[in-house]
Amino acid sequence: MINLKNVTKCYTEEGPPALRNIHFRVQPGEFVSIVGQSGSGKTTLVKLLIAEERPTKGQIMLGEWDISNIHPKEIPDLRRQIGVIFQDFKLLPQKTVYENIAFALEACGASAKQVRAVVPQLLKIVNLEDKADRYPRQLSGGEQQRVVIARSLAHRPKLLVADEPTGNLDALNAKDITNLLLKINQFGTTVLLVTHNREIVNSIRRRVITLDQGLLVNDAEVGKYVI
Amino acid sequence: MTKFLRIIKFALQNLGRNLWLTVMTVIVLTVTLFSVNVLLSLNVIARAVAQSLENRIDVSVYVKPAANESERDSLRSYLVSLPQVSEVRAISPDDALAMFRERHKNDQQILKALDEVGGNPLGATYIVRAKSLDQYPAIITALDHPAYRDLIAEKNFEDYTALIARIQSAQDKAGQVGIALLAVFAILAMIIMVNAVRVAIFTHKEEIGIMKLVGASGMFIRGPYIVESALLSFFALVLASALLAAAVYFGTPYLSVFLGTDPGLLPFFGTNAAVIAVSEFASLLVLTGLASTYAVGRYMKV
Repeated sequence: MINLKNVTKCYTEEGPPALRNIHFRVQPGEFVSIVGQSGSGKTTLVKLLIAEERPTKGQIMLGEWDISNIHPKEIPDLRRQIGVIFQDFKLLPQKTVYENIAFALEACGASAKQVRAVVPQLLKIVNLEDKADRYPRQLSGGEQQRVVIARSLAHRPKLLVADEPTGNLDALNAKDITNLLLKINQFGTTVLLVTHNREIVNSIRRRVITLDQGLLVNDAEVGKYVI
Repeated sequence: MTKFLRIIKFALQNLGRNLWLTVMTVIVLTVTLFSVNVLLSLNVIARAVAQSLENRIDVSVYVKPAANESERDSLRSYLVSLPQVSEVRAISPDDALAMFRERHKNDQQILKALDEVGGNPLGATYIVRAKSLDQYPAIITALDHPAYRDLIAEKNFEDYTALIARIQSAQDKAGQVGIALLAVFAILAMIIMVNAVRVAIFTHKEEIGIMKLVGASGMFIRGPYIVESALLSFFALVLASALLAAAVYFGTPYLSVFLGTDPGLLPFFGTNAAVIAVSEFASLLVLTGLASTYAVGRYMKV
């Protein structure tokens, strides 16, 4: 599914690299937590996966697709194949919950019929059917994050990247979101959870990749948050 | 087709959901467009005033009383045949005498002197109008023709020479200043319009980034903003045109009294309204379209 081969990312020539020789592979259907403290390179890794940044060295393969040197015109295609959940939600403030989810489908060229069929299903999955007409500002943090999850699933991605999805949520909402991610993984979607939430990582008992100062320091099949 | 309809839908949603911003942008565009139209109107008024002054200029050719009818007719035919002449109005000796008497009907001394002279001491007069101001000197030169020189008692063009020169110079300067002002205003209008669109899009910069992260293509993101710009331009054009029409319609009577002549705005806009509207809309469309494409592009680099 994902294959990183000796990936290094430097933002400046003088400073230390954000990532150094990162090498790992993720199989389809896996649930992998990427953990590490602030500045360990977790967010850089997410940015590389969605082609927001390019690696300075190394290669990133998504299936058979080399996205290390992706052409700018191919980026929308790539992003339609990866669902991304952001810590700061990144919902469109001028669109309702329904429209935010529909937008991901409309951007892919889905027909109006498909939109009408899929969006209510997604709203049901994230339990927001009764809030379809609300704007993001009218929702709580947990609800907004659930909208983001629904949106990220709209185009049925094979890979879901969750960048600190519980970072802005209280413990109860964080647990809800984690359970939702596990449920999504059960249906076959590969999930990459980027977090520094120790309790969540330790509770789910899945593969954990630990980063520290840009280096991959641990990769455990059933891991724990060790730093 | 679905994509195009969605772009239109998003554009209309943006306009409606950011109503305040929409209103402000339309006002800025309208005021800018209106100011360009006002300048255009001033040029038309300046031309009308100059034309009115020009119409008051003519050359009076006083024929000697001794000239007989055949000589007078010959002179008249000669004047009419000159390529520079647009009109020759003849006043016969009898009409000239009647007009003289009428003009001095309250001046008994002059009337008495006229009676003492006896007969009609006045000759015919030809009032000659040129096709344009710069052709009067050519007409005056033509009046020096040996065949007619001796028939002419007096010609009063010299009195007008300075006035004609002043009008011509004022007309030329007004034309140059008008074009320069119009160019400056057009550039200012362009800057204001481009900036208004950029400000409107700046408020959407976060959204543009999000759309890109969700996988929307460049055209799918840009499209609604371009359509939005086109709609804003259209609203501004309609408003500016309505304002101008009202100003011209209600202002013309006052301007006519003030200037002493018809400012020529109604016929000018009556004839050129469609051309002006289409060219202004096309310019607005190109400007706002380019501005929105550029502004959106800046926020799409994610």
